[in-house]
Amino acid sequence: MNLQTVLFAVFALGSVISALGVVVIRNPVKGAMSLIGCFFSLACLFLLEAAELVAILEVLVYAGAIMVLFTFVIMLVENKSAAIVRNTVGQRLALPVKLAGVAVVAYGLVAFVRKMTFGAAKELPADFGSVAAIGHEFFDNFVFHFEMTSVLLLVGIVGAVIVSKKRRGQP
Amino acid sequence: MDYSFLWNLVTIVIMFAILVGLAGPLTWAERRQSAMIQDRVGPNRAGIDLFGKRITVLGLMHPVADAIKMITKEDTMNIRVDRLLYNLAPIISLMPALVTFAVVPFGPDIHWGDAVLPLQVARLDAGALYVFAVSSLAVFGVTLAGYASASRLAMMGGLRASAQMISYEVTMGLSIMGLFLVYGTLEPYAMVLEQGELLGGWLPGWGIIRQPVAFILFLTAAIAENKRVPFDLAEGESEIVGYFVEYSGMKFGMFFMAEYIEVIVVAGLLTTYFFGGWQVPYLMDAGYAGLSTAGFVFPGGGVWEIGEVAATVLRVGAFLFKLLFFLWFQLMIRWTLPRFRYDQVMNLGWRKLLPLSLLNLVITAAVVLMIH
Repeated sequence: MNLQTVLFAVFALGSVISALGVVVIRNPVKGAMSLIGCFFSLACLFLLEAAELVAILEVLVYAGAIMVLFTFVIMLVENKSAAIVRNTVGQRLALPVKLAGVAVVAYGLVAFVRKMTFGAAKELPADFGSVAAIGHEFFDNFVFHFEMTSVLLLVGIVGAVIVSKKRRGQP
Repeated sequence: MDYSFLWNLVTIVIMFAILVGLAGPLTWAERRQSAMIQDRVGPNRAGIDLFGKRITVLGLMHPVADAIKMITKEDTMNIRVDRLLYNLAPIISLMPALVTFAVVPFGPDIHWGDAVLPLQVARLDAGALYVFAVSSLAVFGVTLAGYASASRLAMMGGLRASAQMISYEVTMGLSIMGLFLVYGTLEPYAMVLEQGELLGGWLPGWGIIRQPVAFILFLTAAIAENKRVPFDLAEGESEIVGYFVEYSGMKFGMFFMAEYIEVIVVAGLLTTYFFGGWQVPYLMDAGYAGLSTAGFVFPGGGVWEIGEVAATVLRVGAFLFKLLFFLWFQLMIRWTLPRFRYDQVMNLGWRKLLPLSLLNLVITAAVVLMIH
């Protein structure tokens, strides 16, 4: 067993446990922290696969940008005595139901991956995962998809502006 | 036997020596500097009594006394705080500050026989992005401190500080993108190599000359990120109730340590991105214009070969000199400018700096396209 295997085990376990934490933990801020832990473990897994840029972007975009907004919103809207901590029958049942749901999804995923057929393994070039290689993929081979993604984001921004804008005559 | 692992450890130790070793004296320098500007004496009392004489070393014992005070102080804690998050917040603040420096090269590669020993902890292909990825995590320290303190004032302070940090992160990222275009790389060491070129045969091609607007934008955004004067309305120790109002002892100290280490990191980044890193003007490597070993090639025609060892020492010295200069520069800014109002901070960030950084990026892209 070499160092890479050990590290893979550590971060794979870490990502699963922290992902579980997001579902199970009741305090929303702690749940968000758990999700950040999950992103971090995933980034480490990408690093082990020599995909530096993807790992860095994972932390930069998801943990550093999106989750910051998440925590910001949670802190703004959260009322500490909210119903989240109330101990109702529904909530006591919530954990087993959640775990069962996770188990079903996990089983389905494993079954699906096992059915999948993969092409023959081929050796990747040495600079695979570098900024230049990914940039070439984006702007040479997948430029249409790439630009379409930015159109999608633009639509999202326009939608957010329209939703948040008050109509004339309305308070 | 592969010694590169051992060398990695050595560079990590050097990095921490720079960061932690400078952070203490920096608090002293800041006080002496402020005293000088405000025409006071400054810290000069703390000292050790030795043989009936008090040794104060110009007040340099004050950081030591501060550290002892912080560590031995009672750690008071509100009974309603969220213990886990409360204890996590200072750690999350400090960690990014400590690891960001990993991609900053503090000297040229050393060639020792066959081995190449880099004076840089991690040479990442996307090193500049790594800086942003790690430093963007520092916001969580602020928000968590505000949230976990069980105090409305701390909560408001946390929200205020994190809103400011998020706002200026955008400008910071965009200001650096112009540099990516000019240098054609995201890797700090390659950036430094690129800045060794002479523009028109006589002007050092440092980032400040190629991207002057980006330098001002980056400096402003970096100071705002670091929450120092004139953007210190997140903390303003003596007048404003900030996110760490409920913290005491060393946990409070960790927030401050993070701030001072970030000052050093910002100085390192400014040096690397805009002031040629470890480059010394006109000091060229062997092979340039017929040099047999490293030496100076002056634009007037003079050549002075000084050898590899002397060149390496000079270059590491140049990096440290630039680093110290930018530390001093940041202290000067802190004690020269008045504090902004909150709406002014937001106005400056979103209405002025952000459009300016976008404009800078577009113009840079157009110029780079024309040249190629």
